[in-house]
Parts: sequence; C-alpha cells; structure tokens
Amino acid sequence: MRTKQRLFWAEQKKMKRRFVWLVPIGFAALLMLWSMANIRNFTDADRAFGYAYLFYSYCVMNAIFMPVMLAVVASRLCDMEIKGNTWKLLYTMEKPGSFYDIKFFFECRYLVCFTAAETLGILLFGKLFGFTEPVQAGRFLLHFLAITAVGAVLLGIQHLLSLMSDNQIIPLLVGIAGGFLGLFSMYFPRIVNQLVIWGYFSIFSVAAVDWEKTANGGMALYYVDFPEVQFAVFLLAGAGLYLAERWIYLRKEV
Amino acid sequence: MENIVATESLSKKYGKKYVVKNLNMNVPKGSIYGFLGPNGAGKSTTMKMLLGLARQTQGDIRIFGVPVREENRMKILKNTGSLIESPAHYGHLTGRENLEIICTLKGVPKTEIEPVLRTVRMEKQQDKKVKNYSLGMKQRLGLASALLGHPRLLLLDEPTNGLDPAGIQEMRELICSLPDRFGMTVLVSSHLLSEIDQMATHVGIIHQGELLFEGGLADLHRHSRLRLKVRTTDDERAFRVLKGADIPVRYDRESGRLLLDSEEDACVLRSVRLLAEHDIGLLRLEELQVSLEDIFLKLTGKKVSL
Amino acid sequence: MLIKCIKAENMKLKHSCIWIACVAVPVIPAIMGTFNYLNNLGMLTEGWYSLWTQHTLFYSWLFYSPLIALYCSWLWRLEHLNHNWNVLMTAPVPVRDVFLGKLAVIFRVTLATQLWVGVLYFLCGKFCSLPGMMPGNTILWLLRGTLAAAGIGTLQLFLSMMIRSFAVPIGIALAGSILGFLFVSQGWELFWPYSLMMAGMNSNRSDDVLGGDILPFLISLTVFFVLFTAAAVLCLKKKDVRA
Repeated sequence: MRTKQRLFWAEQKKMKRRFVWLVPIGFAALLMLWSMANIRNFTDADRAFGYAYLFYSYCVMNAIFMPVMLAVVASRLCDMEIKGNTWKLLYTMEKPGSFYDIKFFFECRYLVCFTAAETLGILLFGKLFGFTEPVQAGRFLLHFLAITAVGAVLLGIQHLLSLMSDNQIIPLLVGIAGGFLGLFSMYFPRIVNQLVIWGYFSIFSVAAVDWEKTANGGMALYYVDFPEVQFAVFLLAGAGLYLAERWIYLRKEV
Repeated sequence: MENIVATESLSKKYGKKYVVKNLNMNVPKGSIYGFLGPNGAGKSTTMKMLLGLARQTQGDIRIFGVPVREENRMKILKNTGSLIESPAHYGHLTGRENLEIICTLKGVPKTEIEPVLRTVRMEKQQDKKVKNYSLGMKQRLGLASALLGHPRLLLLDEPTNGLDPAGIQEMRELICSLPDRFGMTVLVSSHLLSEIDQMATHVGIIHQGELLFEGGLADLHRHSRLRLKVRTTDDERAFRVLKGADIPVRYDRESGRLLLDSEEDACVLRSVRLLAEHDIGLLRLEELQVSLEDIFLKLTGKKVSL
Repeated sequence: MLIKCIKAENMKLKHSCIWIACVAVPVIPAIMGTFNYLNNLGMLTEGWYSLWTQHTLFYSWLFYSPLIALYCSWLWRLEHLNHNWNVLMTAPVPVRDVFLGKLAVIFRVTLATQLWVGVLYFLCGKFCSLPGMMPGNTILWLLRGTLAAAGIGTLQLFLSMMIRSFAVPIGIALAGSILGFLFVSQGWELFWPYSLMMAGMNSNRSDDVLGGDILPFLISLTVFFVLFTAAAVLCLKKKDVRA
C-alpha cells in the first residue's frame, strides 16, 4: 500500500506545469457554450422535455468530443515518459504493472472531471433556463455512470496506444478515427452501432429520439429503459479489455 | 591577427540572473579556441548567441568581421558549422538521410557526404536508422553534419561527450587537423581541462558567465611552470640573501614557505652555493608543480572534473 | 531557398506514418456515408449531391482540421525532439522559408488527402450506381476545401510550433471545428478559420454556400494565411531557440 502511495505522489509531481486540467475544463466549457446556443431558442414545449433533450444531445456530443479529448489527455501524460526517455529509470524503481495502473488512474481523474461537469451542467442549465420537466436523480446518475464507463474503456485504448507509440501519431489518429466512427455509427441500425466501441455513448443513452414521430416542428424525445444487463456485460468486457491491454503493455521490452 | 569571432561586453540575462556577463572574447583566425568552464558556466549560451539561436541582452558579436544581425544571418550561417548541446538528428531516418537533409539546406552537393562520413569513420553505419545509434555514433553524425560544406568556422559544444576513450582520441586528432587541412577556425567548449590542453591553441576560461582568462595556451602554461620549495635552517635570512643576489624567490610568511621561481640548473646551483656561503643549512629542496588544474581552481574557485 | 526548404522537409517525411493517416481517415466517411446514403434513399433524392453531403458533412466539419493538425504536429514534433531546433535554425536559409517550407509540405499532404477523398467519392458513387460522372461542382468544392487548408494549416503549424505537445494542438483543432459550426450557422463562416472548410467544401447543403462568388472566400483565406505566417515568422525571429 505504501508503495502505491509513493507512486501516486510521484505521478502527482509529474503533473506540475502540465496544465492538463485545461483540457477537460476547456472541452466542458465548449460543450456548455454549444448547448447554450441551442437552449436560448427553447419554446415552452421544449422546456417540458429539456433534460431529455440534453441527455440525448450530450450523447452525440460525447461521441464527438471524448475520443479526441481522451487521446489528448492520455498522450499528454504518457508522452513525457517517451520524450524524457524515462523507461529505464522508472522500471528500476517501480513495477511496470503498477506504473501502468497509476498512470491510468490519473488519466481517469480528467475523464471524471469532464463527465461530472457535463452531468452537473445539465442540471445547471435546467435551473437556469427554467425547464418544466421534473428532475429525476436516477437518470442523472445513470447518465453519469454510462458516459464515464464508456469514456474509461476508450481511455484504456488510448492509454495503451500512447505508451506504446514513440511518435504519438497512432494514438491521436485512432482518437480522430474513433470519433468519426462513433459519430457515424449513431445514425446506423443498433446492431451496427453495437459493433463500434466509440458509438456506445448512444447505446447507453438514457433518452432517445423517436424518429418516426419527429415531425418538422420538434423532436419527439422519450426515456428508454436503461439496458442494465447489457451495461453489466459492457463493464465486464471493459475490465477484460483493460487487463488484455495491460498484458500487451507488460510484454513490451524497455 | 584577424579575429574570426569577437564579442564585446556580451551579456545574457534570464530573469534577473546573468548567465553570461560582459564577455569579451576573441577567436583568432585558424586557431583552435578552447572554451573552458565548469558545467553551467555559460558556454552553451554563449555559443547559441554566436549562432543567433539566442538573443543577447546587451553587447555586440562580430563573426567574420560582420555584426551578428538579421541581415548578415545567412552570410554567417553559410560559413559556419555547429554542434550545440546534444547532437541533433531525425531518429526515423538513416544517418545518410540525415546528412542529405543538411546538404539540401546548406546547398552542398551530396557527393560531400562520402568524405565527411569517412572523416568521422561512420561509413559502415550510414544506412542504419539513427534512433538505433549509440550516443557516440550520434555525436559523430553531429560532427559530420557540422563539417558538411567545409565551413570557415566550426562551433563544437563538448564534442567528446559520450565517446569512448578511443573515440575521444580520434575526435581530438580530427579537431587538431582541421585548421591545417581545411583552414577552419574551431571553437570547442569543454569542461575538461586536459582535453583543451591537448587540442587548443588558445584558451578562454569562463566561470559564472564571466571570462576569467583569455590567451594563448602558452600563456596559460607560463603560469604553470615548475617551482622549487626550499627549506633551510633559517628561511627568513635565506630569503634576504637570495633576494639580494637577484634570484627569483618568494617568501610566504604565513605558511612559512620559501619558493624558488625557477627550475634552471644554473639558478639552483647558484642558490645552493650562496646559502652555503652564508652558513645556512639546506634541509630540503622540493619540486612543486603548479598544474593547470591549480590555475583553473585559483581562477574559478571551483574544482573541475578531469 | 524556399525550394531547398521544401526538399528538406520532404525528405523528413520518408518512412513516416503520416501517410497512414492520410489514407485511413477518409475511408471512414466514404464507407459509412455511403451506407447511410443507401439506407435513406427515401429522403436523399439528389443523387450525387446527396451522396456528397453524406460523405463530407462530418468530414469537413469535425475531422478535416484535426487531421491537418495531426500532420502539423507530426512535422514539428520532429524538430521538438532530439535538439533539432538547433539544426533547423542554423541552416543558412531565411527564417521565413523554414516556416513556408513546412507549410508547403502540409499543403502537399492535404492535397493528397483531398484527392483521395475525391477518388473515394467517385468510387462510392459508382458503387451506388449513380449515373454518369461526379458533378463538376464537387470537384470545385474539393479544390476549395484544399485551399481552405492553407488557412487552417498555417494556424495549426503556428500552434504546433509554439506548443511542444503533440496532442494539444489537435485538441484545439477539434474544439475550433466544433465552434466553427456556430459560425457557419450564423453565416459568419468566413471569419473563423476552422469554418472555412465547411464553406469551401459546401458540405451541408447541395446549393453553393458561397453563392458562386469565391472572392470573399479567397480574401478571408489570404488574410488568415498572412496573419498566421507573420505571427509564426515573428516568433521564430524574436524568440530564443529552446532545443
């Protein structure tokens, strides 16, 4: 336990002057700005479905924002080891496995910072713009859990790629391509959507649009029953994926 | 003698701290100028300012007789080769491809690559990717790219870093041969006195940003001639006797040391005879070498690594 | 002098994975856009033009700029690593040409990307058994999109030069692109570099955003190009090199 603590503080010291917080905060601010532009034009009818609308639209926005944002966070934290050529130094002091875990934990903090800001932002907008829809705490919690879980799985991929890649071009490329795939897959039938890991933001979205009923006027939004079983399976698979990634990383020679 | 590099009260301030202060440096044409100082003395910063990589806070630099300024930048850089800090390289390219890039930028024909590779003995490794090079090989590659196009002035920042003993020897011989072979002037920095001693014709010693000594290597050596420490039955009287006979002698009352500033046999002989004539018994005659290190230490007040 | 710089920059691209990005990324909108088009034939009735919007909407809005940012970051990362700044800045070439040389290479890679997008568009159109050739307009729009890269490429090259991180400028490019949509929706697309792509590629509608008048677009591009090049060259001249 004490070594874990030491590793934690060592990692904390490395974050000095990196200004990584600016990344999630900046993207969260952009997200708010974006929804502000839309909410300003809300009618009373829209306000009755305000939260549902934000839950849904943030799922699309997450698919756009998160892959690149997480790629940036992971790359920012891992690249310092690559640039500084610190592997040999690190491996004589820490177990590669715990180094991998601690680093991932640190990257997760930025993810949670973003997802928490996003979830609270929905509530804030609701109060600010007088949504008439009642607040359902359960939905907020589910939204937060879902986007954090999907984000963590994507972050796991970025984490591995950033640590394995000398020039960081591959992880960022995967981030950009992943965002692209995820965004597109949302407009595809659910079966295709399920094949693309970057598109899972919409699979676990608490609100959805009924395109059949959506006329020219406004969107017909409704709450979906959260697919608990599928979510549990996703979490397990995500954990398995993380272990597999860790295993790949540990096989790498310094 | 014409100076290839001349600086006048050159200073560089980072924040409130002077890294280089009032530096007046003169590098004569065709010389190998050893720029000597401990780590962090301001050697690299000075060299970067000479190349226009860093801008001075005040002072003037003239290279090839023209001031280092935007309008002369190209003219100066065209005739200058440099190896600053660590050797620069593109790791994903081979050694040869790295040199080709330099050739293109310098406007030098690619046929020049072969000879410089031979000069630094890198012909065999030229098609390997540089990221797989050892530090010594990177250093040689860096030197090779500095040599491309036969520059009139070569700036080398600690060029023997990371080389093995044989490599250091080779590098030294190579640097020593450059002025004669190509008419180059070489400014080479080092924190190793012995190294400068073996290569340089001129020396500048810098410490905490200030130039403490500048001159020919011979001048520096004049400080380091032999002395004899004399112990007699009566040192004070011995000093008066020898001084009266115009023998170069010094007496340090505090340490009680009597020093004979000469190693000529005739002088020693005369001193001994004089002492005997005045009934002063000679107890010991000891050779004292004031080495370059001692001088360096005296100048910088800092121990240098050897 | 500029030619020398461009040649040198081209050599640095050897053995690099930048071409993977150039080839792989445009394939995604091609495949997915085409399927989306085939799935919604009921609503998308304008043939080649409908396919065009499907192909290029997300590409030009969200992914084109980060892709260029990726190219720029890679090009500067070469210099940020291994003390290469020292070599770059002691080469006997004007500082301006150092920057323009890199820009030329970015432009070349972007041009290749756009050509590839065009080829994929044509192949997908044929796959969807659309009649005849792709419309001449789309070729013009591809060309305009490539020109837009001059604005964004200059900005990103400047950012990647100043920011030593590989990833951060790419994040900025995505953020800028997202904001770009707000500018486009207000009709201010010519005042924000990141929205020039959408304007140039004409990707969100089948009639021309610019209304056939290309002059304001070109002026906007020129202004951004001059602005960011001047800023970059000024920084290169005034700032001490930190290798």
